[in-house]
Amino acid sequence: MLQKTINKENFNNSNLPNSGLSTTDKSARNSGLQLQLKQRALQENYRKSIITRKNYSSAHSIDTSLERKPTKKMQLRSQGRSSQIPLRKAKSALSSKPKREVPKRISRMKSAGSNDNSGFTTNNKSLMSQLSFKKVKVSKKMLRESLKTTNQCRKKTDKKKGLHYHLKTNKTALSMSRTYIKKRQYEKVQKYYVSHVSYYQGHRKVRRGYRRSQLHLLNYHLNSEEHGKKKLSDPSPFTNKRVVSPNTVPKGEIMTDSTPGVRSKPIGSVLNISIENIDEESKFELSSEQAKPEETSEEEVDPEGNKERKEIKPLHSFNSPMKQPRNLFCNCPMEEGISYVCTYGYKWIKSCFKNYDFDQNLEAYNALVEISNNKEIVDEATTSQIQKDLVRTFQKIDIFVTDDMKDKLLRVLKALVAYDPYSGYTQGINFITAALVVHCEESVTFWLCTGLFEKYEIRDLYSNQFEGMHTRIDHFKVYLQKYLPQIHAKFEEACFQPEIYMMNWILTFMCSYIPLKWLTKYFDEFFKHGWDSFHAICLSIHDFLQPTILKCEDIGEMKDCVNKMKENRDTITKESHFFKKADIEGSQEPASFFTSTRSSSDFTAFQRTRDEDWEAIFDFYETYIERFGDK
Amino acid sequence: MEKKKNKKVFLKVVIIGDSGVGKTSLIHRYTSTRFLQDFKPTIGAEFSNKEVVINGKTVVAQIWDTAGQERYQSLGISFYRGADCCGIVFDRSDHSSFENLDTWKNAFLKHGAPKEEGTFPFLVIGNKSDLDDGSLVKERDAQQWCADNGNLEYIETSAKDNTSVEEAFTKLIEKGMEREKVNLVELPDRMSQKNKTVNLQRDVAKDVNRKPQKKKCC
Repeated sequence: MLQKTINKENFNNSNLPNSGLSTTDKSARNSGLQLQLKQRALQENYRKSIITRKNYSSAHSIDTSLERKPTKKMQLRSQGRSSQIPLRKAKSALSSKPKREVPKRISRMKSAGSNDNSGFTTNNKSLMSQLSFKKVKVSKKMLRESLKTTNQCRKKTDKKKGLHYHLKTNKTALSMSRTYIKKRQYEKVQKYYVSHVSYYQGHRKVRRGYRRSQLHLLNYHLNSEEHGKKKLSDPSPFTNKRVVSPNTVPKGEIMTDSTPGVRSKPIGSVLNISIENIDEESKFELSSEQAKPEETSEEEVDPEGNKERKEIKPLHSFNSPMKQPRNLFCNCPMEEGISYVCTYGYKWIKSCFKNYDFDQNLEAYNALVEISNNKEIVDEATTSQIQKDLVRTFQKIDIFVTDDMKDKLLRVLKALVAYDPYSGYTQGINFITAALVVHCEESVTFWLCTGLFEKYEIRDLYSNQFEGMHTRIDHFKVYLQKYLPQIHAKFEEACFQPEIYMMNWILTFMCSYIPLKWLTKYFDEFFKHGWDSFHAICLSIHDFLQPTILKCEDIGEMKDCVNKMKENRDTITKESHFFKKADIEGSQEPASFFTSTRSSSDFTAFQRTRDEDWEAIFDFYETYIERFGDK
Repeated sequence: MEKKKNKKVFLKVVIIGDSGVGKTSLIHRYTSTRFLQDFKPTIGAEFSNKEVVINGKTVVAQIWDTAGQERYQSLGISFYRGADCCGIVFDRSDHSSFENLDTWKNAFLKHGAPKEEGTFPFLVIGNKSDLDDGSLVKERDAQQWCADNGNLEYIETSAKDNTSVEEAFTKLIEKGMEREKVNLVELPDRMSQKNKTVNLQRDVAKDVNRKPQKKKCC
């Protein structure tokens, strides 16, 4: 109990987003592991939160620093850290002005025209340059160190996973009694689960730091007049301009770290450098999206550039927001006075961001689009990959066949990459954006995606060698064993692993499985219940198909059976029957295959049966959500 | 009847190659004899079974379709294991996919870890031959590459026109069977099927090495 209370305090102090913990904990509760798991997780987190308060650099290094004996590099590192701490203290003493608490990025962006901030910046300007000077020096060592330690940390977590997985594949284990194996598996899943809860906690912090650095980048670009031209000649605009203060550090060194050719390296360097500056600079980020970006940026970014900056105007003036005509494809009712989204979209965006300002976020999005055109930030390989995939996204639905829609999705996806190049683009994201763009305006789609990625942890699915995906699949397996033991037994008997199809389900977030019409309901539920609703829908699909699955004889049949509903979706040719026909300029005639080979009566009959199927599935879904809620 | 069943040979065929070169289309053409109209990027991996009779033997080929995006390679690794033969596909109208053949082959040998690195049966497939606008990858170049990389066989196909798709897969399966003869004893139906199921676990090979450590923990 003591530990718990302390832990809570610690969490509040460190001001971490603990949504990750809460959602995963929730699901843990459902699977009946609650007490043990919780305690362990709390202990882990407690251990970490203490250390993380000392060291903000990277969560991975913390993990290992506990268990390893101090090496030379470690000592170096600790020296560097000790040099930071007094500075930080001094700074906090200086900034005695009332700090406003701004919990979320959007609200931060929204808080326009604050006066106390600009005062703050001028006061601490000299201190700032000192701070950043010392920090960059440290960060070079720390970068190397933390990259090493992350690798070690990864290996360690792998080991933990390995235990649980090995048991399943081990032949001797198979020869043991089945019940015993199951019991052991369950235990291993638990252990693995706990390790992941803490792992996410650490990982999330790193990304959070990076996101902040991204906002900086955005600010930088907003204020530089010559977009594109300047950046191309300058190999690393952000590391150079933002972190390195005038009197410090040979620029060449930093730039060698971030040569544009190697993709992973510059990201790492930017990442680590930016993380150290979080505390000091997060204040300044407040100003990044504000009404008068010129004023604040002058003092903040680079004294060298002062002369240039004074003449610079922001990309778009915030006083005259560009209002775009409605460009939605759904027939949903609209919220009053808002032309960007339908009621569903409005609900969703509200659940992601408390105070969402459509006009300002449109501006921010436009700026990001501008940035994403820079080939250093979104390289050509990524762009061509996205283009390749967009030609293969929902091509049976006429609104997605048009060039206009493809351009739109391309812009959104590129902006997403520019927003978080650390994660980049992965196939599957294209389906999610495509599913959302039906209900939302372009910019809203983008921010909704970021909300999904961060608040609902979808980004974790794709990053770090698909760690998150594997965790989710493991959770699902536990659910399957609990709620549908017959299917589970059948799969076990045939040595069929649900990974084969679950990978597709999770990475496309069911968007390529559920028909577009029903996706609306699915998203609606997801924004309400979070990942519970994902597991519930998976279970209900299995439940619906249970009789046929049990009849299957071999693996191939099982796989086909589980994907049966998906094929139903694929054969449907006029999905947009439910949606308005695309009436944008330059829309093309859909490809010839689009006009179906089915006769119309066939088509309607088919549609009816399919709708009945999905209604049945969503009936199952509701019972599952209730059952989840009970426990 | 039982005897006949036991004669079934199970083969695992893995198809790799760059994104968008037509791996899924080729496999779909072969297994269901139709050209896939609705293109979709393969996410993760998929497989389909096809039963064929080759040289009087019934062969059940489990053909694995992998994702082409570079990012998915880390997932694909687990599918490479236990493969009997491998088809590397490139798009003849896309020269970069041809240049990537090297990386694909090396990645397969590294992660699939077949016993015989030098003689593992590969087949290089140049797809999309129907797009003839003069700028296709020339057969001579492709043959040259194959000769340089251990005398691999090369075949040109088109999933759209159905030119020599069947031929390509038959070749692949024959090669796999030759390898099977050398290496493996025929197993009873059920057993062999079990062996052919795919391990999706991460780092299975590493785990095997870690056995002693694991016992300590328990």
